[in-house]
Amino acid sequence: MNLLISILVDGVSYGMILFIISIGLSITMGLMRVVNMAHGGFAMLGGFFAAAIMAWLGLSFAAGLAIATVVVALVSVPIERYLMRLVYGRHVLDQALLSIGMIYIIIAAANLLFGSSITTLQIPHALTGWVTIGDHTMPKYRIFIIVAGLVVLGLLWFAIERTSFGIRVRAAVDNSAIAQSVGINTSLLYSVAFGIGAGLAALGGIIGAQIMPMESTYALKYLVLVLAVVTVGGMGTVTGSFVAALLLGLVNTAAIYLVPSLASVAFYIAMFLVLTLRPQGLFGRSA
Amino acid sequence: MAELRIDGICKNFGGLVVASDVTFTLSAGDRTALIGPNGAGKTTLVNLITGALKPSSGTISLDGKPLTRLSQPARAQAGIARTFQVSRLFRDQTVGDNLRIAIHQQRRQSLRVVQPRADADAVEAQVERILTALRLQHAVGREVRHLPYGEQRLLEIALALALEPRVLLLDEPAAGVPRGESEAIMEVVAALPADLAVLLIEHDMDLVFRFARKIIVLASGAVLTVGTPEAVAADGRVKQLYFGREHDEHRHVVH
Amino acid sequence: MAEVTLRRAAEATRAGRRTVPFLPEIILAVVGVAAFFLFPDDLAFLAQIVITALFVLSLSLVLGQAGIPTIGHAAYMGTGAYVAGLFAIHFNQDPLLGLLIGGLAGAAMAAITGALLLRTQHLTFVMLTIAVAQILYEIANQASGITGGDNGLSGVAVNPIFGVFQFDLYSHTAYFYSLVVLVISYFLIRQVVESPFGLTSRGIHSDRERMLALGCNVYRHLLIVFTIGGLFAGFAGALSAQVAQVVGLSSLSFSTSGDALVMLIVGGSARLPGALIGTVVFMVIQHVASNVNPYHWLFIIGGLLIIAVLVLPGGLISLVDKPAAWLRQRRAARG
Repeated sequence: MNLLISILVDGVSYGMILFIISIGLSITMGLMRVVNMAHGGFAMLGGFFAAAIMAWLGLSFAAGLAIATVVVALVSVPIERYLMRLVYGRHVLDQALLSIGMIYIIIAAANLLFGSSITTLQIPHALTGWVTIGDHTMPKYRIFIIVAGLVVLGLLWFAIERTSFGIRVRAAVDNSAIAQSVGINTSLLYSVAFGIGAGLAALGGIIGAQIMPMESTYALKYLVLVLAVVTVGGMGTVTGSFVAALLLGLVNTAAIYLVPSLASVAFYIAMFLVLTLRPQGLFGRSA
Repeated sequence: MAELRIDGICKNFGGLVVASDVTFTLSAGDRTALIGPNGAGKTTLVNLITGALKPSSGTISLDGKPLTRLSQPARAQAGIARTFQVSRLFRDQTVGDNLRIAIHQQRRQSLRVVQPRADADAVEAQVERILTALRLQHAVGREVRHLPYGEQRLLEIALALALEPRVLLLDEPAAGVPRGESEAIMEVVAALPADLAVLLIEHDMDLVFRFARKIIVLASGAVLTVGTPEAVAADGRVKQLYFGREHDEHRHVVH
Repeated sequence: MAEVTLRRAAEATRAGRRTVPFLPEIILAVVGVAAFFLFPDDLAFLAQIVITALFVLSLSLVLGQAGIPTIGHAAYMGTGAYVAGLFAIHFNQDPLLGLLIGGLAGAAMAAITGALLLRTQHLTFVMLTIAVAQILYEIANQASGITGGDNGLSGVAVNPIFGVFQFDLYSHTAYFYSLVVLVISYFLIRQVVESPFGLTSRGIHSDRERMLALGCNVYRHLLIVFTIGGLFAGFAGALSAQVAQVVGLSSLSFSTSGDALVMLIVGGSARLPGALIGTVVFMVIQHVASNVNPYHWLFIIGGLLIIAVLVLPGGLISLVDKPAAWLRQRRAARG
């Protein structure tokens, strides 16, 4: 029973991190039909920025988190405008290669600035320790992550279902040509969506740094994980990414607890099975 | 004698009906035009016949042999060839190689890694024959993307003819071509082998009336009427269909 | 008149290749032998370049010709390497037999996984290729009783080639063995590329829908291309096992697939020589730069990739091809 609870809490919190990091990629891929392999790099930039802000400026975790998230969102906009936009509509491989090139440069830059060892992000005292719910004690921080994930899900749902921005995003995901012809400024929409997605990735990177530690090879190490969430969920769907992230997080965590040696095989096999059976992803619409 | 039979074909995308109980036959030697306003479902029908789309219900057969369950390539091999409204050519390849690709398919030689000299020569002779017939010989070594659009449209037909089909579906062969150049394309269409069954989708009514011995009028996915050009021209419903809705189509109908 | 031009043009395309038979292979062999005399102290590294070139060449067939966007091609090289290594350790130490077995293993793995993978397209396909390579990587990692796991499969020893040419400390035999395999493979792959099969592959790359409308069984065709790619990747793996006498997990790793992709794209994927040029350029720069600082080297590959995608989509080979085409046209216009 305790084992099950542990798997559940760890798996779900891991899934939440994957969700927060990946959701921006899912939305931008649904919108712009562009594969950005370097999306995990935004999570990594967020983590390193936050660490730097906290260490060099002596600011709190919350301040570091907020500032780094905003900075990454702002930095990502010119990347979308002047780099990614050049490969919209080109072969998936060109997009993949361009963004893999970006990953290499991010790794080299991070290594230059932060060295090749793990950079720790000190979490605030209030979030350390344990909480007791019913008969079970659980790490407080894991619960924080789960709550954060649900808040992000709720905000995204509200933004997409209930705001005019969301209506425009949905219209453009369905058909960008039609969206454009009814006067939606898709260019601005792309930049905003890309920025929000990058900001969310940064947020996920920062609060997930305990689970996915900040190191210079981060963007490459978790590349497949992030892309797996998007493809398994089906691109452009928030629900899909959420379910896929939880599923993959749980599968991986369960395997770590039960058959540790097969943990990553279990992950890849889960992904392989879903994608061979449903190439468009769990919640994706068939082309 | 080839006979393509379309029987009660329906297709919906979600709630949208794009083909509704379409029935007609196309026999060897037929020159039939398929007309209708934009969005009537003409290209969809071509996609249903070639197997690019699966119908929701209804059957398609060629010479009594059901095609409905066959894949797209299998239908092409059975003798159904098509052209595309927006050219789909191998843009980075030469005109000659475009044709060779199609001829290798027709001769079932596309899996060969070693091509005997005699077969290679036969393929070249075929390339030459088709290009001569279409007056495209001069372009054999040119890459398609450098070709004028009118010649690209000719090559579009050439690829379909290279399959030596029994049924040919021409999806707006003169689309996007200036008036002056469309003449060359219609000459090619007029000179198609006599025993070929041809279905022509076309907006330009001049061309339709010059070509067709029978016209099928499609509206909102359903057959509105079928008849000789004279009968269709006199049909009030057809006039209303065009004048009532499609302003940009006027000029083709009027002059 | 027109018919004469037509025939002349058709003959020119064919004759361009027929006038000097084996011309590309002769150039390759001459360059290879010249490298042997120019850099006698770096033969181990040169052999590595030659083996990698074969791997990239197999990728060129799959990706450059048929447009199959794989980022997991190392799966087939790794399979070839492990199978050839295990074969030498447990069964038979004949190098040529081992080479053949390694190649067939790569082909078999490509056929089995390709049968599933090629039912998908676009990003899903890309992801599945990564997944396959990672699954194999983890299997090799976990089955350490058989594969040596993290430590690699060591003790791969093979007999002298034809019973005569002993694998020596100076890598003389290793280098020439690899070079001969590369030259023969280049010839075979070039045959495939120049055949109706190769032309059809480029047709699929260019417009899959049109190929379907022409009656092409695209799935079957791509599966065969993928299997042939697996065969030559398997040869490359077997060669590396025999020459290095050890098979590391890295032969299955993501970065092995990724690096090969970078080499191909930088060199140019549309024509076979691009694979060779890209491999040499990449490996030489890497050799020099990573001695300075392994991470700074990543600035260079990253930059090369971005430049290749944005500025030079044809790769380095297009720098040679474009002026050549221009010259040909000028000459044709004058003559």
